[in-house]
Amino acid sequence: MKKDWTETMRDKLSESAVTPPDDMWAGISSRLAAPVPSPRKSPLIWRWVAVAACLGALVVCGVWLFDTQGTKYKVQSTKYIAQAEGVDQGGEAAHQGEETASSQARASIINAKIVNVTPAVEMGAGSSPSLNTPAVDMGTGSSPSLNTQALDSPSLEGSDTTVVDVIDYERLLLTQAQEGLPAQTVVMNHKKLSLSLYACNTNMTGLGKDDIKDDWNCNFGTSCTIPNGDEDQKTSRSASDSYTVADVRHKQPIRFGVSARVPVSGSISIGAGITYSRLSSSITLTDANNYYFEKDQTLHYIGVPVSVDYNLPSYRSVDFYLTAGAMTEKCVYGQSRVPNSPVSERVTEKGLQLSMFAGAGMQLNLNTHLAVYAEPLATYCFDNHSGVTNIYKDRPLNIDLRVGLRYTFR
Amino acid sequence: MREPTDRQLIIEMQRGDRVAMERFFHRYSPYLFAVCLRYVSDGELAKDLLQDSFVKILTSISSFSIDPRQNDNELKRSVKSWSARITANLALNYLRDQSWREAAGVLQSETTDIYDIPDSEVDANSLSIEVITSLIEDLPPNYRTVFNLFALEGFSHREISQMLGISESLSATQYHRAKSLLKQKIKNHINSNR
Repeated sequence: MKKDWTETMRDKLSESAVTPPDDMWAGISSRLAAPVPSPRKSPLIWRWVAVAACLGALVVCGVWLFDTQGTKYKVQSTKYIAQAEGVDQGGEAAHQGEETASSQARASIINAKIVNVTPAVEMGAGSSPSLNTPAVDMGTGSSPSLNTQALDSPSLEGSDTTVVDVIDYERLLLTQAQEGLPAQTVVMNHKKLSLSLYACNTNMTGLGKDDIKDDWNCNFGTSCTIPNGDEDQKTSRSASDSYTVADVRHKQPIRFGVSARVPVSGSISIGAGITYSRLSSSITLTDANNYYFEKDQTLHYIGVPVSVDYNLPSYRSVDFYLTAGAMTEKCVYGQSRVPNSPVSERVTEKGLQLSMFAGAGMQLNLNTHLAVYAEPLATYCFDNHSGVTNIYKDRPLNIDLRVGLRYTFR
Repeated sequence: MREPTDRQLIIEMQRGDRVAMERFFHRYSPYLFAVCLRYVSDGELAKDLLQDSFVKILTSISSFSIDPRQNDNELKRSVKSWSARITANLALNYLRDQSWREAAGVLQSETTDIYDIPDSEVDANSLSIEVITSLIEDLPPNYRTVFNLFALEGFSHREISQMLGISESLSATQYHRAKSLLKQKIKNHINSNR
């Protein structure tokens, strides 16, 4: 059987020989004698992920500690204390003064009776909290218990509510049980840590289109051509000394994140978390001889966002809020690759990417703990002056839609 | 003094004998330098690649197992193949670092029409090693890489796809295109020398 011509080639080439330079062995010998290098460090991406995870964990722990230590309850104090002490509710001014005095007197009486108090209180979701299962256990004397039935929930709005700490709240519960007062006079606003898992898509608004011809569809895979006459821009976007970016097509950025949020007052919450973003672009390069070729660039970012939320009045089981914040991102890994080719190149961005965002949020409470939410956000990315072409630079002002699932610990 | 056989050399190298390593280098470096030049045409780059390859070969020689049933010729082929594979793997790292311009050539070549010539019309026997080397070197980089890995180093398309980060079918396609292009070049070369 006749040999395949490639086998003939292989046989011939197995005899091929090209004499290397004489001094080559010296170099190899010295490298063999050199001490064994230390084990390879873990890839940079994992180090950054670890740093971001630690930061996120730190923030969550801080928030959790703050949440536990700062627990307060909101009580409709004026009506309740007036009833508890049997005070006549006359004029408003007189009532305020009596409240303080009578509260102190009552507290001192009750204090002597309390040995052990273990309240277990839950609130209903949304704006209609109710006292579900309060149970007060006393070490001595009788063991009063509150009515555990669902009660009509009083509104939290209005000036007749005040914030008291957990001890006062427990005393009030006890007094309420002992004196047979209606349970609905007590409401609470326990601080709730909530964790969110979300995905975010960056929509392009066409803002900042002065530097990119194509606007609305840029982010969805169509062309974003850099104006040919703009030499400065060409230079700043140059991928290397010999090539110029001729065309950039950004694909839809993808972002996932986990965040924690905790109320710090009746209407304000703070949040922090960790995000992963993936930016993909198709970049066409050209040289002085109009020699074009394409490369696909993918950048991976890890970010730490912090935010402040302002709660708006709720409607049924839907909560509304305003949100604003800032995010720091770091490009932990980047790669450029010529399609269908083994040739690839690492892309590194040394600086941090800072951005700010503001928007509104809507949260639909599915049950006591679980909710889905959507947040349309306006974001602005600051130029970090790196040479890396990405959508953050091409489109600094964006509209993002963040959708996610929120779990609230109660 | 009689030269040690490959078997003796390898056993001594596995014991850490530096003299045996130097002998091994002088014995196989011309062959491996030719392999390097098949992947990277730049001479300086090929020298760096050869040095890296030998450091890798000599530091991992303990993983080379000698089959006692092999005769000297079979062992020599086995050593050559093992060393060439290490070199090919390292060459791919060099290729990744090469300029984008060369990669662009890859893309352009994709659109080039290639007319397939029957294998029976190709006579590689009449070609010298230098001509074969030169014709392979003229292939577009990705074709050359896949051709070298498949036809000359004996990697499978599955292995090549993993090494290059491409699909198996793309590896097979590029190999067949490389073969067709090479046949054309061989035919042109033979015709021009008649």
